[in-house]
Amino acid sequence: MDDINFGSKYDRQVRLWNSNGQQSLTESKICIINVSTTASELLKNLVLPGVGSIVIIDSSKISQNDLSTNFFLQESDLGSYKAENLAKNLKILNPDISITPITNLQLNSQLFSSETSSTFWKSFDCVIYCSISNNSFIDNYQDQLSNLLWELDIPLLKLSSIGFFAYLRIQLNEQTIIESHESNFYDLRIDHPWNSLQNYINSIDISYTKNENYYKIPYSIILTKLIQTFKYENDNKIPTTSQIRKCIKSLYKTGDESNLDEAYNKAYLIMKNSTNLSNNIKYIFNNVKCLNITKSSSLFWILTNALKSFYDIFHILPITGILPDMESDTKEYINLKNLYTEKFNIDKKYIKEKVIKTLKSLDRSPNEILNNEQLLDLFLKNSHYLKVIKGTKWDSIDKILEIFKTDDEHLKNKALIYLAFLSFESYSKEYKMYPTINDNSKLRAIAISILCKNKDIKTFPEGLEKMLDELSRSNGNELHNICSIIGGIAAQEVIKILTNQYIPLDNCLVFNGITGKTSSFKL
Amino acid sequence: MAIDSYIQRMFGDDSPTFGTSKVLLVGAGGIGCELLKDLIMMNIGEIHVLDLDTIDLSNLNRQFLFRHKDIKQSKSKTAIKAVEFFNYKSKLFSYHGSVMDKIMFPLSFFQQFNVIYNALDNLEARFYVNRISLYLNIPLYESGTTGLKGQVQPIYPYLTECFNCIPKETPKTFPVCTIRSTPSKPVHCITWAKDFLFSQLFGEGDPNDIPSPDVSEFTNEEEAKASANEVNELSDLRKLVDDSKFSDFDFLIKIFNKIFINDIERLIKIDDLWKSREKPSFLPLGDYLNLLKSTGDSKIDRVYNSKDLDQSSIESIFKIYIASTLRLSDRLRNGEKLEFDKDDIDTLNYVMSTSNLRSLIFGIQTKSEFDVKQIAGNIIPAVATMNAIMAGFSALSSVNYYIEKDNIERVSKSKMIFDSSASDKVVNSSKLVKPNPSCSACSVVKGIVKLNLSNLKLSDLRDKLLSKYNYDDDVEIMTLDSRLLYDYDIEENLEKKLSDFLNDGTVLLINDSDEKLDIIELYVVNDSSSTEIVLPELSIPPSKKLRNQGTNDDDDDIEDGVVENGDSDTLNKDESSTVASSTIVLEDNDDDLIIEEPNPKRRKIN
Repeated sequence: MDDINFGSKYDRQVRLWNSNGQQSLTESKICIINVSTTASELLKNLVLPGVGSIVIIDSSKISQNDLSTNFFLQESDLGSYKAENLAKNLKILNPDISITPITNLQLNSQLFSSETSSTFWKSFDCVIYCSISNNSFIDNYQDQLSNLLWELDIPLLKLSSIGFFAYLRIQLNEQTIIESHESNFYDLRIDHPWNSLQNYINSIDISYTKNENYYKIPYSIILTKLIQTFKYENDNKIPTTSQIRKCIKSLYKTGDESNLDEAYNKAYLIMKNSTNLSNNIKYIFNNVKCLNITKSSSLFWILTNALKSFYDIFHILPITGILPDMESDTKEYINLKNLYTEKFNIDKKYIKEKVIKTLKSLDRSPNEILNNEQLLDLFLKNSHYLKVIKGTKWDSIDKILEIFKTDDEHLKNKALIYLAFLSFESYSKEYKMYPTINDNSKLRAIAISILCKNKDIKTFPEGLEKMLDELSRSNGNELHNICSIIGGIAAQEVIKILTNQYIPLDNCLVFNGITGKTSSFKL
Repeated sequence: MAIDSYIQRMFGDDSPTFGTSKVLLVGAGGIGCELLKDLIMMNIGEIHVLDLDTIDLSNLNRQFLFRHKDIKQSKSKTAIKAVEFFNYKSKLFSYHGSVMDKIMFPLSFFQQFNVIYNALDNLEARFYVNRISLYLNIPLYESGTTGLKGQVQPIYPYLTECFNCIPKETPKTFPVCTIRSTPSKPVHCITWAKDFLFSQLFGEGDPNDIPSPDVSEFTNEEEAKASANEVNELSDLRKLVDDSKFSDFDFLIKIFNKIFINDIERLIKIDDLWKSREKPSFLPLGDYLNLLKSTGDSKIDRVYNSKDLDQSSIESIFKIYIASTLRLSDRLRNGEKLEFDKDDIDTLNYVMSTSNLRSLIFGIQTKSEFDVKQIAGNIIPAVATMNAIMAGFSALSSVNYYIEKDNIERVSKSKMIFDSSASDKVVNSSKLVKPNPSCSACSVVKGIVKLNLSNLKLSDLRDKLLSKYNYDDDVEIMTLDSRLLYDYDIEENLEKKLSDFLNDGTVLLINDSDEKLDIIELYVVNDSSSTEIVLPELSIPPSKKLRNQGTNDDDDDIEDGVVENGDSDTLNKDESSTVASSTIVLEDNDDDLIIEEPNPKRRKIN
């Protein structure tokens, strides 16, 4: 893949996750197990943005029903392997990527049972399991797969779609995200200027009577100045946005001052409190991994440890150093920008030295950070918006039953579809076939037997019957439209995980196509 | 099971009308390709696909029906050809043209459809199709995405909110004088370079045809005069380019001196402009005469070095300026017609380097290629996943159309979908909302008037209106694009033929001079066989003024808590739009409990 392609074919998406995100996608290898329509739609959405290599495991063959829902399988391929045909048809969508079908049944059983299996799985950055298919063989290995991938720390997505319903469950150990893309405001420190910025502000007069260059002053300085004057004149009281706007109005002389217009429009920025920590950062600072650095700690945790020590000393996070475009003249802007850059470098130096010290104390090489200046910059620029997700293992039955023990009707309602799917899967495992509309009572009995596993559940959940009916009515058949939506949603989560950007779903989502609603909850 | 019986079974035995319906899909881009697939898999009887665009390299990351070999081909035609390989029963038709082209697509064209799906990328066409759906009372499924955000809005004319009911964030425009005389942000210089300089120097058509800027748009008379002169002189420069030869270099220096030196000197002399602004200065251009020299090799002069694309030094800006000017001149001399295209490297580099030169002079930060491309090209991030999700929801919402018997049922079951603000959510949904009673599109009484434009005079139309709708006194006749044709002060048009100012498809606004009756909208259909004016049966309500007496809608322009528009040239995340999102935390589960009012600011649609 050359740079030209990064800039053109993938241009529209690189604007979402930058070239480092695209690089991660291109270098990723994923595996998908079972070819359903959901799987095909999902894969299409990973092939197009350029996920580097894909392995498709499925040993079944194309039936007429597949053709009725799956856009990427063709009539002329009836009776041949699904995995092979899907690979062939998706490859056309993006010749840059590699797609490998595995249809050999023998190989499959080895993959799940043999002791050397972990070497095969280790090569993947993410594994996707589509649970509903005619291939009941693999289902026997579900739990083994989940255990193995949990141990190997490889994210696993499980999803399926029947009739108008679908679900997605993500199993991931821990995701430490630097580029969460959650940043709301520029870190201007209007309420909290550091010394050199304060000195600079003191040297500037914003009134036109005293400063003939008043119209060149960037809005952040005007706002800082106005807050400070207001507090001084009002017993340290913090002004409201409208009070500040009133002050700005009095600064106009010609009415043509675009810097004042901008200050007026951005006056709401005075509400930001720079010393507050977000819940995400608090969570990170209280995390054992941040507090107790060990020899095996990842660089992310070593960096957060340094960040915490910075905060403990200065009671504020390092500056992100990003200054937005502002109405002002170049000289004024450059002066300000230099101050921000200088402060950024000072803060960065602190973090860097702290990390080096930590690495040395762990007998690790300081080059880990010295050779990774880019990571350090990225970390500091995003240091206010870091996010850690602690996932859970997909123990299918126990966790969901905990929900039905509670009185939380809202949560129960959300979880109904998931419970219905588990009953459906359990049925097909037991009877080696999918329930039809005539098997309602048997499916219900399975659901009851699942519920009975938790002694505290006394009643059959309201609404579950309707969900079970819809699943048995569809007889395990997929509806293209629903697959397309859940395939889109799941692919988006895979991309978040592979790029390690944006915050992925944590950790279960159900989709009801009859009401058009998605709901998510944590298991 | 074959697709038709499969669909029948999945949707139950109530004989849904998928197979007998005829639908129009407007747009075969990111959402359009997905939607076409989804509609085919719903076994829709006839699908007509319309798009004016051709395929571009940067489409291939999401528009899955297109391949590398299809670049520059028609989107609608290629999309239909691509799906031929798949199994389907739907009949497909494609049209290559603008949905707003009234000759290609008169009102009668739209009449044949049961449903219209919008998969468009611009507001103008969306508003246009919205109006068509109102005139013909055809349900419209509106959809759009921006990066990882998106929404779907089912529109049942007059029963639910139409596309026009909630104000949309329109692209920011700048005052002419900011662009031409007093830029203060990179986007001003980029707009100047693209819309003014490039289009006049290399663009289509004769520069003499370009009207001088309207004097009233300038506050300063000298400034207006200076601006008008610039246009005239540009046509001379265009001639320099036309007459140049491959080995010439001098014309490039002449053009530079005119645009970046003489014109700016002229501006500097207008003192009024610089009372509260910094005067432009040539100092940041450095030793520009030296930088403008040829390497001595015409071929090397025309090479772009990738390291110059970051535009971090004066040298790199000049190098790109020289190469792109020479290359564009070559192409012009070869008879090529040029227009700005963000994916055309020469046009992009020219706009980039000239806007950066201008930025230097005006003391504005320069921008790299990645940034200039985003601003000049109005680039909206786009990814396959969100397009698939929103197209899927558009198709899914429309299922109600095919399985329910009447619009009331359809409306009550349909959902509006919009991206969720909370990160643990994919989408939120809400029930459809009643139309906005003061919507300028759907609250206005509408009808279609058939007449023979070349036979009738404006006075015929006026007389007929007065008698048909019982106006007390007189009417004003305007077009939708605000041309006033007649009121009691303007009588000179009365005896002119209607064809002098009206076309097939013109929309007329008729206003009661007494302001007793409400304004009405008439869609003109030219019928050369008719002799009569056939006005529609309308019951016109009293004017809104009479109905809403006492309500006052003058609000303070900016209030506390109102989230301001972000700068359109902010390249990072639009800080203000996420201010809104960070404060809304919602659940979508109980639509009786909480319905998120879609925030108009966040419904920027692309």
